[in-house]
Amino acid sequence: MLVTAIVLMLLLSQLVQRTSAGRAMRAVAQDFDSASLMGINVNKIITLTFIIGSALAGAAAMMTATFIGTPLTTFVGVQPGVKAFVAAVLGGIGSIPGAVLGGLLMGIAETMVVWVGLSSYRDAIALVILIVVLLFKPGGLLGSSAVEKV
Amino acid sequence: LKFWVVRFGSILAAIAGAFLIEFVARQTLDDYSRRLVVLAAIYVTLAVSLNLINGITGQFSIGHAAFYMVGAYTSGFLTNTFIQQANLPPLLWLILVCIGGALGASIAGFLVGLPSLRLRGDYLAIVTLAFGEIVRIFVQNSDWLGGSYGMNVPFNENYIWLVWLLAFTTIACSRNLLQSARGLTFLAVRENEVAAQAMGVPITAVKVTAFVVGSAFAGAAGGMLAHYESFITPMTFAMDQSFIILTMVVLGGSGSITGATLAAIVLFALPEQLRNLPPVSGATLAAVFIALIAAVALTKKTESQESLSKPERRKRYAIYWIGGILAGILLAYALSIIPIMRETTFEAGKLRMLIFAVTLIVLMMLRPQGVMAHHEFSWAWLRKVLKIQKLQQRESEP
Repeated sequence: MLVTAIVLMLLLSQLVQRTSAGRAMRAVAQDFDSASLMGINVNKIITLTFIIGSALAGAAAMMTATFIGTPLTTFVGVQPGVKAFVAAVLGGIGSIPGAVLGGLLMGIAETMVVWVGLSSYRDAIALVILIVVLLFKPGGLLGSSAVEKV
Repeated sequence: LKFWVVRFGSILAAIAGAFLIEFVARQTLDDYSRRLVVLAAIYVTLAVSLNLINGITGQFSIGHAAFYMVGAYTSGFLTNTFIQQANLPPLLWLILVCIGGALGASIAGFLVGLPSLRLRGDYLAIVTLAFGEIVRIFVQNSDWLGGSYGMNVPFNENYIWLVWLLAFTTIACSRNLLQSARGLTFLAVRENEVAAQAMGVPITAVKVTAFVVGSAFAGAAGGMLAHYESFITPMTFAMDQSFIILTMVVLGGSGSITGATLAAIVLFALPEQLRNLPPVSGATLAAVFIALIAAVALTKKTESQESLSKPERRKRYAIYWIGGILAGILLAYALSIIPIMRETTFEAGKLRMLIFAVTLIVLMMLRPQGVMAHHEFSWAWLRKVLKIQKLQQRESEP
């Protein structure tokens, strides 16, 4: 499972950093209008990112389903969905290593809280960490907090 | 003089309207519908107060249920602890306690508003969301607040008019704010922060004020809910509450008070009404979906063709939608030839959230800026819309 996750992560970062589609994605993220002026089909790129992102979520779901232990319900995706968003923001949106770091930090923090014995606060602790981090580093851990220029 | 006449007139009209709603609800409705009337007022208050933060000041907050919850629990706690000693008439007590709830919520709003000075966009949204969840988990683990079992609020009176009066007050406050010079600074922050700062708008103060005022109204709504229902649990204020309120604001057209009010009532009433639908067969369901997708796709295609004139475009929309309905009916009959399609039935009660979601998606695809966009309801606006339509009719006649 760990191997799958690492392989997928490496593949994704290669895709974003090395291929032309990846470069187009980064361009769209930076500036919508300029990207389309440079001949990038913005709609197509957005569709592509949704396809890749959903596919990766599907892979994560397969991994979760193998060890979750309880019967699957239709609500199984709600908590992970929110936590994924939190982890991405924690690491800095737009940075793949940041997302990995954010996810690891959150997971470790949650487990530590359970270990200390405050298991009912498990879901809260990651969010407290998030708020504290964002107070001191508004762009996330590895994200760049760009100064807005006029 | 006219100013004061209008002002007092509208205050009296609001009070009269609130009492009228109370009277009608008491005379004609059963307990269930009366509760819906009260909840509708609470949702109107919530949507309009979130509109102040989200639509008017442009600070994307998805933790509004947290302020609602803080208000409900503060007022519930006050009632639980002090109602024996205070010995006040229930109406006065309810008003006082709701003010207490509003104060509690506005302190929470201040706490959330402070970090928002440095954050924008996704980051602010996630912090408000995180705050909402932290509050809920904290309450769930505090035994002195009832924990996850919930809290009883020993209060037996209920005043429908007071809840509606709160909704009217919220609407009036945000409208008057928008009319004043201070309101313009809120709009300036939404449109362009850097430019606003350059013009001397105190961005910090504006953002924090928006959070404090918005959450105070949400807190008052929470107090009303706690005392109407007499029982609150942390799950009443779960994350999806925040999302529903946010949907109301966005669907109504963020920044429009009228839009938020209308969307709050419609989005609250729609899922409740859908409970009573008869069960539908698989054939009908499939036909409805296919027809809907076709109509939406054709409409979107026409929208992107810029060579067409306006009346021509209108004509096409009408053809697509009427055609869509007819084709849907035909398709439903055609599909019911297939036995498996005819025999599987779905209970509409279970499908209601699906219908709700599809309605939202279709509306947002056809009108991304929300139903009312940035418009407000006023007599002048209504006159303008009617005049435009008349002009268009005159143009298309010859």
